[in-house]
Amino acid sequence: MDSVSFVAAFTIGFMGSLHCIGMCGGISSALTTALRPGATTLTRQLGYPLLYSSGRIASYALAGALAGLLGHQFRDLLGGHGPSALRIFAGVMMVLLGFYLSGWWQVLNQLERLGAKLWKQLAPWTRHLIPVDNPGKALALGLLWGWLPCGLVYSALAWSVGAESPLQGALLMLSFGLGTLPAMLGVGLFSHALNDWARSKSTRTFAALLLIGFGLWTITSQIPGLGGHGH
Amino acid sequence: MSDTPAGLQCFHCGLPVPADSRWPVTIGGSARAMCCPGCQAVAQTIIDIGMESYYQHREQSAPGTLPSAELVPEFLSELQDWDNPELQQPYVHETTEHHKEITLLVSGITCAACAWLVEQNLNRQDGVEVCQLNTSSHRARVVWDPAKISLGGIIRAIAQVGYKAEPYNPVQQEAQIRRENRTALMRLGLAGLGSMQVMMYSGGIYLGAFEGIDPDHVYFLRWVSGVVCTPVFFYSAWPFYVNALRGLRARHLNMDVPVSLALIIAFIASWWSVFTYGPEIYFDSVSMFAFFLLLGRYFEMRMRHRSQQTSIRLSHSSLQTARLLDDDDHSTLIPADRLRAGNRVLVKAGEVIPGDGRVLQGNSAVDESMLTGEHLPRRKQPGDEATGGTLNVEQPLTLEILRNPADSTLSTLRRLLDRAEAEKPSASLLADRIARHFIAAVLVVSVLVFAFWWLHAPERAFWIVLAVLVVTCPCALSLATPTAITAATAALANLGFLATRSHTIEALRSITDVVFDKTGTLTEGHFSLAKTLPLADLSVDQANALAAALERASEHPIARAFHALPFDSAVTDAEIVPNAGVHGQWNGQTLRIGKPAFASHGLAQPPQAPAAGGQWILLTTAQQALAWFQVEDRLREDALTLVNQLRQEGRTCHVLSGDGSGHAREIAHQLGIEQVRDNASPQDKLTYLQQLQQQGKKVLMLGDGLNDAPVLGGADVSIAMSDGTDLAKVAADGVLLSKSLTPLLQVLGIVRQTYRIIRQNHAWALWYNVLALPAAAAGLIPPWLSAIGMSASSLIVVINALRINRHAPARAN
Repeated sequence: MDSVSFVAAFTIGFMGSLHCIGMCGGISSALTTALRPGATTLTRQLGYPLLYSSGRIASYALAGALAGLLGHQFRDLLGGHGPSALRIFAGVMMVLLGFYLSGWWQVLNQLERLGAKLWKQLAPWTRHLIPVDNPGKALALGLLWGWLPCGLVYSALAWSVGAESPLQGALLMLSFGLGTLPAMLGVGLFSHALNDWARSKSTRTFAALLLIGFGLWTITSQIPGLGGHGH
Repeated sequence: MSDTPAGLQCFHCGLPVPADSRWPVTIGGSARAMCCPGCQAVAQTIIDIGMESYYQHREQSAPGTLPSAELVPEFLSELQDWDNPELQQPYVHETTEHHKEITLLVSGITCAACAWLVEQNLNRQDGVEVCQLNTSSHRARVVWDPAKISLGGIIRAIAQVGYKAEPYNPVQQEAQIRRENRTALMRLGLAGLGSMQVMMYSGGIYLGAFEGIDPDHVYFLRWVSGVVCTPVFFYSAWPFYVNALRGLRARHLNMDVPVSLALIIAFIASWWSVFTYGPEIYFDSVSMFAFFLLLGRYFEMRMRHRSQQTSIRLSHSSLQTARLLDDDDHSTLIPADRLRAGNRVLVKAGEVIPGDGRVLQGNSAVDESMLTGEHLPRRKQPGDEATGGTLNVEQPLTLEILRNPADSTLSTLRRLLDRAEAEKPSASLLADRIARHFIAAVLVVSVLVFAFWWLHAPERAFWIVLAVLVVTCPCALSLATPTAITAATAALANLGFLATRSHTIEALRSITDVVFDKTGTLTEGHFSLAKTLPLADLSVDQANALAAALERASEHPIARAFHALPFDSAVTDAEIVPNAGVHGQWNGQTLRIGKPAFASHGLAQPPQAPAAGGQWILLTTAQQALAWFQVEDRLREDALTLVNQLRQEGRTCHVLSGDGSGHAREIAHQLGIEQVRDNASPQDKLTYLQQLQQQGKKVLMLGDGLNDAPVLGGADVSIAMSDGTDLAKVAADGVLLSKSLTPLLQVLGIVRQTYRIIRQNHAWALWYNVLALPAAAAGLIPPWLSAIGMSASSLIVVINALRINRHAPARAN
């Protein structure tokens, strides 16, 4: 696994999260209103969002480790074609994510629907964490937040199925999570103007095309004779 | 939000909802469509944890509904019509018939260059008479001719050069302080996080270099450093670029020019290096520069805010509400700045008196410490005047407001302070000029240094120029004087001493002679009866009762000495003869009391005044003298301490008095002052001062500031002792609001300390730059250290100045 994969995971997180500003930005603001009154501005704007995100990213990493484990098992199952097959799967997921972001074809919503069932099991726990009056609760809430149904996370997970080990899967998802950080923290820090820009049609289309291109490149590079990057 | 399915937007995130599915959530009683299961889950969770209010709360600024909704109130307030006299009224003070004065709060001022820009532009406007902008308090004092330019025009003229101005009120300034603080913290926090991250990545790269790291990994780490550094470069360091640009536009080199240059060069060079696989990246330096510089600025700003608290405290009354009484004595709460002269207000115990007024009903004690530094409450009864902003301690008081808020004692005090702050002391103007040349020199030196290193060791040239650009710190130089003066002004105000001109503090430093104008400055100002000598066949008590009965008619300070005594009710028709005394009828006889010449008028044998000192007044009938009364004005308790201390410090004391009764000589004698001149006309006093000045003496004159203005004006520096009632008329360089003389010694002490600190600051700033510049040019200082050095050098100056505040004697709360 080369560092380019980490860059790629980071990029997916960065690009994809532009889309999430609307959805997760809402959580971020709502959670900020759930803070105990009297918290300082810095704590509100940066401290707690950072805790939420740390929890969130930790959950991603855990999911990544599971995906990596899964991929490891699959690889053994598929034999020599394992790695290529998984990469092609990841590439396809990336293309689908592109469609999802641009709003052209939202097939990933079906995946989200599955995820929503998992979330239903977890959601009741959030009630115990409101109001958020200490950093521990914020972190725990972040951990739960990581399991919200999200097409973006699922396609990144599909990617880490191609990882060589659970550890690498976790690291990949960590890179992805770090990529989402600017957008998530930015919600509190920057003006609405930036957020509007991030969610504008053209920005989303640009990010979508980039991801689709990236996905296609991943797929073609796995097909002998088309690309030369196979392992 | 549209309800047509075609353009349906997700209720949660605002993105389009796909045509074929809804994912609804019931919010506020109706089903809302969501764009995806994710938003559905989030929205459901938000409802489930009981935070439905979030959706109401964000209604005005929901993402996707109105992009700049939250900007609207501010936008509106900018459009507010400041030409409307109603709106202006609380802020504008009419100085003369053709001039108005206002204090504006200008946002966005960061340095002397900004202030200069605003001042220049305003002074060019026809009709603007005076414009002085204080760099540290961000307040501008503007005097204009309403016939030629309107207030709105003035505010627009300031907006033209890129700053926002609004009439100053302390609530706004508090809000501005909070806003500034929040933005600064956010910039600082981001820079801190960013530089930590980037340092970690750089650490990885450096360590990796030893262990043979995979070039792909290095590439990745560089790339991530760049990404993390970018927001720091754009967001955190933004103020530096803005200031640099403003400075350049005003053709005024400021500190931020070299700083911005260093940041921009390093940032661009780093990205270049990332894309071209170059040898070095400087992302860590960029974020660290930004972080340390912002840290320095942040502390500087906090300290500036601290000294502003003093003036905010002085303007406290406009933060207050007042209980306005109507004709039926019903009270309504209104903001205190809406009070008008003639209004009646109720002030309950424990409340702040909302404006200057006269007590109509009630008997209470008022804590005036915020005004005078004196913490013993003063009694107030019907007829007494109370000052707005002071605290009613005991019983409810009903007051009649005497002055509109813009003319109140507090507003006058604030204007006096503002004026002193706005007039820049010549020393700091000089420092500003030096700093400007210094920056130009630094830029030239950097080019030379770069050329030199480029020829000798090209790989180091870049680093060294960065260090040179950042390490030098003219700010320390230009901050040295103003910060100390500002801190001193605040410390003095805490003592009840207001320096009302910029040169006051400077002039107080070199005082050799102290002249007390009028004995009133050394005495308590109220007379008491010391001795009664009956001349005819009557007892001391009888004589006193007759005198008291006559003097009841008069409010003269001497007459007041009798007011507390029992009086003889047989005296009628008491009538005052100005400058002489009182006469009245008693058992068919005419009684006279007053100056010996007046009382003994028409007597065959005027009696001889007793030899003992002090002031004697005479009581007579038409036929005979009845009694002599000795009245004396006691020395202030601390007068002797003051005079002795001044003498110990090597300053000579003088007493000048227009009074010819020998009283002045007696007072001077008691205090051991040898230089006395009594029976002196104002012209005599002025000549006396000029003679002293011709001998090379620097004269401090103390007076009441009301009737002796021309004389006070002749002194090198003048201080008026005033209880705050007639402040607007006071013409002196400083006002001592305290009832005691002791603060004067502390004032002189603080002035001495201030100049010691200014000297230290200059020495430090000079030596720092003299040593740091060559060291950086020689390549001995790494860029990160130069950023620390530069921030530390200005911080030290500011912290040193703040010692003045701390050493000021603590005031009781």
